[in-house]
Amino acid sequence: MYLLDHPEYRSSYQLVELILHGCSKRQRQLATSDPRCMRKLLSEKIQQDFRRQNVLNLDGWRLARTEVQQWALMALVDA
Amino acid sequence: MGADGIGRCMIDYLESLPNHTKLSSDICIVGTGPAGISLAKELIDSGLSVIVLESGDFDYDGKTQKLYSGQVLENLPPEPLDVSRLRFFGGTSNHWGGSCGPFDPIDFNPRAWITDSGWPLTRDDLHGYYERAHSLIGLGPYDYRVSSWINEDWDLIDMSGTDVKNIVRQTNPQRFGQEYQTDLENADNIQVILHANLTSIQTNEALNHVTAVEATTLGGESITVEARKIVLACSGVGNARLLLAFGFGKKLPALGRYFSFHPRMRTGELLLSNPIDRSRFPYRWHYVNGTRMKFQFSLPNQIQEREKLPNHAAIISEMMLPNTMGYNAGKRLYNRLRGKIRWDGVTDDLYDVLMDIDGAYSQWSRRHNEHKISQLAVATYMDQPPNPDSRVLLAQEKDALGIPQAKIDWAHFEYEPAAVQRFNEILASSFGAAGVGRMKIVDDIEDSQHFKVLARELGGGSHQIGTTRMSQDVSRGVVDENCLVHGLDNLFCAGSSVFCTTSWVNPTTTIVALAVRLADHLRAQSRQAS
Repeated sequence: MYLLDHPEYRSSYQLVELILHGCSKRQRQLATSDPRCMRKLLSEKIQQDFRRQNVLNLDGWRLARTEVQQWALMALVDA
Repeated sequence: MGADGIGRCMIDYLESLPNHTKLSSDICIVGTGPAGISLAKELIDSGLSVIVLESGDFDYDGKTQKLYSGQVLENLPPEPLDVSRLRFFGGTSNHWGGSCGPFDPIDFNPRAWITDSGWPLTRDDLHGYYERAHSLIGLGPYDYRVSSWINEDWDLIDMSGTDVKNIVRQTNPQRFGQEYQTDLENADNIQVILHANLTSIQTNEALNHVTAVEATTLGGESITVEARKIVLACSGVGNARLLLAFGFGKKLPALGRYFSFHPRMRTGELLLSNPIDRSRFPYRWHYVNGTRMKFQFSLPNQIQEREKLPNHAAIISEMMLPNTMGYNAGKRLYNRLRGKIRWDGVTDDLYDVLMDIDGAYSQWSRRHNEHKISQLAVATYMDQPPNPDSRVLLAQEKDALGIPQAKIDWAHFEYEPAAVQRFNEILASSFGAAGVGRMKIVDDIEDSQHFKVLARELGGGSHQIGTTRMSQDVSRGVVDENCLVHGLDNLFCAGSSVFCTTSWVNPTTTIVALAVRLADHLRAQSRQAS
């Protein structure tokens, strides 16, 4: 649904950039090399999204923008 | 000795008195719901003679109950008027659920984003009265701090750092009639008269002083009570209805207006990231040191101000499949064995269990063996902004005593559905920020028609509020800060009809607190006069 509404993001590279937007170089290195760091980083970003009202309504579900981009990325990778 | 000096039992039936008897007293209270009984109880041994008039008997009677029939346009509030209220000794406390809580300070304050908000008194003015109300209702300690109720056996959701806070509610379904009947019977200065329906309020020529009230049975017997002060405690709708029927509406333009109830609506579902053990779920009723309480959610003041929202609250509860016929019947059989309900209908229930034994067993098994909760229903309890176009009016139809029935024409502001939507968006974001889970908000809350459908679903119509509200401005209110009706020097109103705002919380604690305050005021006035 997110990809339908945002066809400009139908690129895994762009989605990765969006997801890691705002992270330092060091954070990116750690996240891409260690799955636990990536999980922690994403969890913090998602909670921050909710605090900052950086959210999307998808089919009634109120979701953090980062997690929606994450699922969009997984959908692209799976396709 | 009766209140007027005539020796008799302190609770009488009107028809046992000689027809057209004239009684006199210092105070006459009309109605024996939580407001009327609390007021009478607080006046025991006050040195003031009190006559209390009650329409019904000690128990339910269909003919008397029918006097409460009325009309509710568009079925909002959803409960018919003769279903939401009870008309016998103890009033609607004879079937209420018992949920309680004081209003928040913000509920009393003027809020720039809510027109006609603000009471002519503050929460601090009621502080001592809330404590006394707690005692009358049989609640636990007057302490609503979350920290006082946290229990290490529970998984309270930590909402710190979000826009939502945990709050506390208590419950005790005090049956005021049963609880205080003996006290009133034994009081030397209180006389209760049953089967006494208020049928007229007589005033002097200047229309600024009530000289007498008349009460009549369904059979036509009547008495007159001449009292120095009269208090109407006839329910949130009843007070306005009676005053309108007796012609007081001409001088009181706000009479019957600002009618509110507490729409409760199912507004979402919450999927927990980590399921909670049912025994550790603090958002359902638990006993803590003998007090039945639970937690729920609301918005801090600064968020209400930032978002320009009313004081809504939310509850989360386990999502359950509808009960099967066999399960319900089995539950009733179990409750009979525990002495909670009567044995009438036991053979029907046994039959239902046998006919649906699969349904009974599978649902019982699911409830007792599945320990984790992962999916919760979210319901919003609304704080309705005061709306002068939402009204109690008189219908063309009359009751058996010739008094016009009440007709409710409820209205809401255009912005209210959007306010409920925004409240739920904040709730959903806060659950996400707290790492609790994800919330799905019900579709189309902002659509006015769907909003009304939602408002009908979960009730809330027993809370009938605001129809003789307090205000110094007679164009916006019916009573002053001491519940004295404008333009009269001795007629008062008690109950939720005097509320200026509704808050989200059940009204009984505030009803009783205001009744206790009125009792103190009447005592003080009497001391000054003497």
